[in-house]
Amino acid sequence: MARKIPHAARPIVYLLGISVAWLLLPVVFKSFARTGFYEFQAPVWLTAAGLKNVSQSLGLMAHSKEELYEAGRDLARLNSAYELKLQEIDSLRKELSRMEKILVLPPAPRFDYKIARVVRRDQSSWWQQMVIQKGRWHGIPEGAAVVYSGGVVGRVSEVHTYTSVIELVTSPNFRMAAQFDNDERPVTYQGAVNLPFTNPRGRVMNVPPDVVLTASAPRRLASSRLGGVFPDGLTIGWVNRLTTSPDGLFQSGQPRLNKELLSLREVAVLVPIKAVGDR
Amino acid sequence: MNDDKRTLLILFANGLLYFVVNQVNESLAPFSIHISVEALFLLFPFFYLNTGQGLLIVLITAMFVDATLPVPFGVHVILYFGTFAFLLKMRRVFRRENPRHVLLAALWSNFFIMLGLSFFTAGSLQNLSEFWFRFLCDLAFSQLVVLIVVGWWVNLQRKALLMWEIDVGAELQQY
Repeated sequence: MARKIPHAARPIVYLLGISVAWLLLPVVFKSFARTGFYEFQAPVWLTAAGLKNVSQSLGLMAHSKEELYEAGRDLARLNSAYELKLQEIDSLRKELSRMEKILVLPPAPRFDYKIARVVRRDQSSWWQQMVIQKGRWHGIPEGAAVVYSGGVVGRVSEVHTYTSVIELVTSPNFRMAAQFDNDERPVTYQGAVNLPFTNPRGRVMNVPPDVVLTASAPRRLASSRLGGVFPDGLTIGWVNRLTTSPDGLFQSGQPRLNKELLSLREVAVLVPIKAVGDR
Repeated sequence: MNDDKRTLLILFANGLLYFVVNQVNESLAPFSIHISVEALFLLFPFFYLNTGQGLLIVLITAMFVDATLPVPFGVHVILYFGTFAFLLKMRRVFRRENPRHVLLAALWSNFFIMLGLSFFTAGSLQNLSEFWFRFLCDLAFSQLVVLIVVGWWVNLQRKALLMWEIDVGAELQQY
């Protein structure tokens, strides 16, 4: 005759039973369930982001015509400046490819910029990520670099049908190759825990001992293409102090990142040119 | 039929809470503060539903939360079930008629879930004092929010069920 489980022990039996059942579940089921639950709630986030855009547009409609004329005039001036920059970039590109041919160098990576709006943010002590409203359908590849006007934002960690998840540069699990301005030697950048009411910051490691920084003249830490994801020269943050490791071989520091990283509305995904059109 | 209705309604309420809390966290992101009130997902199933229904709601809610986060799928399932199992074990101690008991259950569950998540996901960060400082700040804000909203939240779900002509308060709990 089967013995009944005593009342007091039932919760523990339930917990153990369910935990064991969960561990024994095939990975295919878990993967399917995860994708299903994610795609099920994605339209809700997209709709909420869309509503926010509408409310912002309505807010802009409150501006007077004079303000719009002034904004249009300023934009026209900016556009002309950018047109000139584009011509300069074009001639620099031609020169670069000429040099690559002469020196038989591998071509520098080129990217297509895909602009995407941020639909959701998860920035806790456990993880730092955001969701953007472009995904596999828009040709976003996993592992691509994500940037904004102020520099590096992060890296695409997951790609779904209409959305992608970005691991932020502030995340403690984020690592990339970096370099200081006017110094091509690579260093390692890693995100750090962000404390409340302070600017986000990270950690820079493996800095050669001859690099000298002072609080009055902080140096820009920028991306390096050695990591294979980011192009050279995108700002990560500013470092004003380095401390030498006990063995004296390397230095480390804490770059201050831009506070805008915590409230971005729009970012650009750098899709390597060869991957464009993969869809 | 009533069982299906209440399951759907509580799941919908949990989804709504998850969405609202995420919007609040988006607004708090520039201050590097994150609020976590996941215990509120478990309270109503524990106090007002039978064990089978409660477990089903907890399972679906946990998978819903897990799907969007960078954790191994199932971490929230284990954490929520662990917390729910403890609450079930304490069923004779925590009485739903007593607001203090409801509050105590909520605060304890929230603390357990946040601490469990830290141990599951933090890895080498656990050795950093900054991580625990940030954790304590997030915990303090989260507990404050739980303290403020728990009574309202449980009553809201009860009222929603009453609108569907389900009086869970009057029904006897099986256990």
